[in-house]
Amino acid sequence: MKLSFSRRKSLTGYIFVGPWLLIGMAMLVYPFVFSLLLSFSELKNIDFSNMSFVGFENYKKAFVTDINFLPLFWNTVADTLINLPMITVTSLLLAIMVSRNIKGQGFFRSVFFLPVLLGTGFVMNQLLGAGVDDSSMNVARGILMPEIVQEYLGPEITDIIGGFFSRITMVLWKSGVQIIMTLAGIQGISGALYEAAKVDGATEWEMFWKITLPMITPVLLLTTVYTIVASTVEDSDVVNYIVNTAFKSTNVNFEYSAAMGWIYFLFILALIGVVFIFMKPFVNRVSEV
Amino acid sequence: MNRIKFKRKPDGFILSSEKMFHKFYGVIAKVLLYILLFDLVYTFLYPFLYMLVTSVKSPEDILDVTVNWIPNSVYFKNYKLSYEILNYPLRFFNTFFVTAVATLGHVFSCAYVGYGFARYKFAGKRFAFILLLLSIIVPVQTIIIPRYLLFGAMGLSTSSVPLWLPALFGFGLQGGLFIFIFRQFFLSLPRSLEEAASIDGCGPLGTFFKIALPSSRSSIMVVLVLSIVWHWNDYYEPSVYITTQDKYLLPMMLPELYNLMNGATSAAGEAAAEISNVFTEGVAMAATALTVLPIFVIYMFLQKKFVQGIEKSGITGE
Repeated sequence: MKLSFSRRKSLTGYIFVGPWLLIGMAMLVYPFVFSLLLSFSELKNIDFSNMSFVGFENYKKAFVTDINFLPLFWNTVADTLINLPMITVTSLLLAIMVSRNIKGQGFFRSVFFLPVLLGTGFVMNQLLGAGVDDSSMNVARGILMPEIVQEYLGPEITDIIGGFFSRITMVLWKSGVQIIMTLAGIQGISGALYEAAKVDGATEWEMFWKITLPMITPVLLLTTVYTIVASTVEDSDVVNYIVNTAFKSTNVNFEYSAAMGWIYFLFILALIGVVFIFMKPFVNRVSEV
Repeated sequence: MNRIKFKRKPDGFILSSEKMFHKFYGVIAKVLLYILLFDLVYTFLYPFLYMLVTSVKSPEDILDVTVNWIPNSVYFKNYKLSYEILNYPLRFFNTFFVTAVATLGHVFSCAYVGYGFARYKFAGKRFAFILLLLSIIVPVQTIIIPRYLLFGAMGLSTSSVPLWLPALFGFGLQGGLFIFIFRQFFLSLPRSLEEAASIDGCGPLGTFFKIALPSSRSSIMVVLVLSIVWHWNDYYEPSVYITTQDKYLLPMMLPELYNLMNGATSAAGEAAAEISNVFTEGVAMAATALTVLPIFVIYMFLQKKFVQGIEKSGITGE
């Protein structure tokens, strides 16, 4: 059989993507559909032999009956919403600082990347003391505030400022990959643009707003989406609750866990959607997505 | 090229005293920048220093509030103890195996699939691309139950196989993201070399393995480092699949150790006091240090190439 050139090329594409697509059906599409079905069902037997459709019963449980889920979920939602803009802005600021002609650029870069080595899991949370217990909270707090100042201000104000500082520390620690991506974006901007602007008498400030920022909007969009995706593998309370409901609690409840998983996914999806809608008008050239 | 230049007259004519002022101003700005940068470095390093210092503190030093940064004696017993509790050689090997297989799998499979996405048009590419985006954004929590059942049907749900098998096919931890990284890189790579190879009679697979893959060294570096780091530290999926103690991975041991420590410090009574003499924060910190140590060693070797890789790999859409 003779095939036309384009036809042959199309089939070659399947050599590369085909196996992945097939496995994807099993590893992604099937679990995706199955967990959606599961979230609308009730299991009569633990071995999945008898599933009956119950409509939004499991979702109702998450929002109405279960007193544990909603607080954990809102915590994660609030955390993500606060961290997201902070991480984007922080990584931009740090990348700009490091991108300047300074000594020890390599040193700063590798230090900023260090927290990434701890992943986003348990170790990082322990070292940051993110809301575990008071003694380890102080680890995060002592970082930016000397003890004398703490005594002077009293416990309440210290709490507020301390909370703020530990938030900033956490944000800094989660920005490693984003800093390096933003830095790469900044360094990819042609120096000729700055030269031209300088000749025309532009100030540093003007150059930032008129050259740097517009040129790296695609990178900012990318880092923002990356931050959202990365937050899903973090060691957060809601994530642990979902997995414990399915695998570790005394009365295992698969269908409820699936429903909570879907609520969480819809939140992530909505967030990415909002970010795209909000940032797209500012992105001057999106690389063909 | 020094980009720190402050207000300039459009004419370019600047009075000398004014010039002096600007120079002075520039030095001050630079000093402030360095102070800020070092403050940031401190913020980034503090927890690591805290971990290292605490890990060599004796139980007495930990209780003593006057001992802050410099312990009275370097107390290596913490390391010895945590080494034993972790059963370090066994758990290290478990973690190393999963990380090595999954990472190598990721590098090859993601480059392979990413190349297909970047270079070929085929029916259903739109669908395939949506699948790729889905694999990036769907949190693993959402689909873990059917996956668990799937592996269960294969009789693998209580082994470490589910942790590395998907990675061999471009799935697994952030596999979609890695495919995307490679796709972006190959899109930015000029086709001329590959076209020359195919004119010379090199088939598509040969072109990929002999031309495209070797030239994607920068992206390989990025994927390699990120994949190693994420697999090594992953705690969520292993805790679902692995149930037997001797298959535990290193990061899974830490929560147990910390619980032991917190239990020891919060419980009252003499018996508890005796435990707390053994399970101090020092032991927990030593265990943490032992857990992250291999990653640090690897990163020290790969660091320079990794940073260059991110700059060259075209992730940033250049």
